[in-house]
Amino acid sequence: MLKISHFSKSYDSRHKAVDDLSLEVCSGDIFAFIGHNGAGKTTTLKAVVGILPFEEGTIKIDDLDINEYPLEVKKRLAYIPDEPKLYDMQTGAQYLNFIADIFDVNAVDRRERIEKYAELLEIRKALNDPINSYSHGMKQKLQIISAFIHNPKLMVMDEPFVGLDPKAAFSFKQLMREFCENGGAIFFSTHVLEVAEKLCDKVAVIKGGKLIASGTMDEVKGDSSLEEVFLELTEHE
Amino acid sequence: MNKLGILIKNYLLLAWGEIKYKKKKGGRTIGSLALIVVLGAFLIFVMGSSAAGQIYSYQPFGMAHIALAYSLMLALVVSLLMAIMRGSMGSNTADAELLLSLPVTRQTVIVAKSCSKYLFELWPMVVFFLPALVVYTVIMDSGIGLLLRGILLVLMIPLLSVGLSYILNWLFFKAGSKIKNPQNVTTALTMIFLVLYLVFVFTINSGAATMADISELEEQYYSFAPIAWGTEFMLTGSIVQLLLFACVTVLPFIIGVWLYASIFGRSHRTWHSTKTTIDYRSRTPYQALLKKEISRYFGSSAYFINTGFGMVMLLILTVVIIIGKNSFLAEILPFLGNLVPVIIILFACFCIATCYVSACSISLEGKNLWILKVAPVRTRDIFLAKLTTHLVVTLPVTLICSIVLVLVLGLPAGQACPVILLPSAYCLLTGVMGLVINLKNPKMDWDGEDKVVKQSTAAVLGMLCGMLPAAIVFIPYFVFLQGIVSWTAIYLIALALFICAALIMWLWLRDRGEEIFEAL
Repeated sequence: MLKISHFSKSYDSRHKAVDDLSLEVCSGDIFAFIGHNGAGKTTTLKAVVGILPFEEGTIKIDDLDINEYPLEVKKRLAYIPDEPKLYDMQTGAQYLNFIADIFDVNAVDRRERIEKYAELLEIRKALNDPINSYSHGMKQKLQIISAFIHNPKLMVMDEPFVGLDPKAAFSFKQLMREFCENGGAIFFSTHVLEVAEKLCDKVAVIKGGKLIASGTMDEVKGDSSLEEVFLELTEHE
Repeated sequence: MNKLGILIKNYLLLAWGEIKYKKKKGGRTIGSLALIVVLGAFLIFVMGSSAAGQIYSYQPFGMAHIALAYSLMLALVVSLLMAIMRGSMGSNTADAELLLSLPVTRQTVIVAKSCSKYLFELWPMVVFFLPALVVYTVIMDSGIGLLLRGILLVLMIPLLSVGLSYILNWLFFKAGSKIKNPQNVTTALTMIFLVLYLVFVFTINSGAATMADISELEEQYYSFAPIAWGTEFMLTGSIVQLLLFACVTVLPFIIGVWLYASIFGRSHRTWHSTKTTIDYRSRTPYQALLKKEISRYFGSSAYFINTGFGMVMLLILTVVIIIGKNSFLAEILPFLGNLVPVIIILFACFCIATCYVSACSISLEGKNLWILKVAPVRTRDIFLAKLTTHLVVTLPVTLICSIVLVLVLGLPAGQACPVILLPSAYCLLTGVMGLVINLKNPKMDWDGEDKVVKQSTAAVLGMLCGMLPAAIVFIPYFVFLQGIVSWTAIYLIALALFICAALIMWLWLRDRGEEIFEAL
């Protein structure tokens, strides 16, 4: 589903934010991407979704190169950034309709999906309110609904659990599992290692822009906890 | 230093930081400062010269003090305008929670905020009113007493601005839970105020041109009581007039600070819909982008007021010509002859240039740019939606005004066509040019829309460069080619130039422009 090969990105000539990173996310995978602050997680995620131009390496989604077929790739993607930066002057419903229009989702499908996810995340009643009246968590819920609205093949998420209440976090984890069981794939960054350990089947650890471990959860952590392995890897590498 | 002093010093440092640290490249700080100083000096020179001109004109009639009354009026209007602008920005600043969590009393915070606001609002008075006061004192040799009384007014006027902005903050805070979009109310209020101001200035100026007895001019100014109170206080030193003037400046300040203190730090209650149904109609991606752009434009008072006022000016010109055609313009219009269509075209072009809608549109995406970047839409569709929004704002008003003026003035076909076509083509040209300018001068990191629509390089260049094409065509004509090239030829050259320039810039946008946008 997602294949990153020898991807490198530098913001200046002296330092590489990400250096020769390669990994693969397959259909059905819930893939956690973990690392310290400033390790290169967000840079990688932004390059995957086509926000950040890059010169070295290739990123393919569904065998389509993001640089060669950006529109085709973006149609298959959904992205949730680390901060819910949305159009404050719109209502929640207007924002969701805007995203649905951009992804060419017909009226019947959008109604069904918005109603389903909004009820599940308990935000249905607030959808006609302006986004500037939303709390951080409500904005995050809106982003989650907008990510599901066009039934993508790959979801790329940067710290998606931040701001969610326990019930919404539980519902969201259920949705993630359901999405991957139906053939989708999820690639997300998180600092909550317990969540990653329980939810994900694959994990990659990045440090200083370089991938230091990648594989199935069992391969990477063995008999230890993910937290222990992460600390050991990032301290000794 | 006590806590009040520390807080005020912090606000001054923040203002300095705005100049110093917002620029990415070194060396720009001095440039920004120099620009501010030069602009300030230029305004002081203009205001001083204008006052001197007025004094010499009215002195023979014993009415030199009208220059003081005029400058006072200007200072009060600027002050009211600033109050409305600041009032629309919301009551809670980003630092409210931080300040309230510190071991500083609420009163200290409010006083510090009010003092720093007052200091920032003082300098426009120094620019708009002080030069006239100094010039009047020197020319009329009226002594230090008048100067000191004038300075006292300079110190009092910003209190009105600060006080009114606080009162507006309070009103919008209270109305916030009842109005879906309080910004629209602010927009409407500001527009009404600006139109009233233009009508007011026009009434006074047209009156001055036609009045047989110049003393009626004084009456006209003095019909606005605060101007009469202020001017009379400066001239006579009357304590009663001073107290009356204080009622319209100090009193709003006290009330404003008291109201502001009551809402400072309180969480804003926003409007909540009672509607339970959702409109699920679908649109094409382009329609969705256009809808977003248009709702963004009309939903933001800062964006709408700063970039839409040119169209209001064009409407006012049209109304003035309709009303004045058979009265105060009856003698002037036949005298102007062939110049009438040129004047209309140039004024329309000027108004269109001040509507730099597209020149801010990319910067205004700001932190939301990621939404467009991850969306499967062509960059050219994003540009097209922004250009169409520019045309939606400028073209209908331009077309209506042009057609109405052609009909009212009974222009022949040879003059009617350029009056309608040239401004319309200019709308297109300024729209495309605005996008190019914004791509070349993006300002994506901002903490208030006014920073983009009023202070960004793209906004300033959008307006100034928007005036260039008309100047490029018509100035050489007036200087070198008058009588050599016919009006028809110059109109055709202008039309061809506007359309070709728009086309070339559009092609640039579709090629290099898309690359720049994607790299933002």
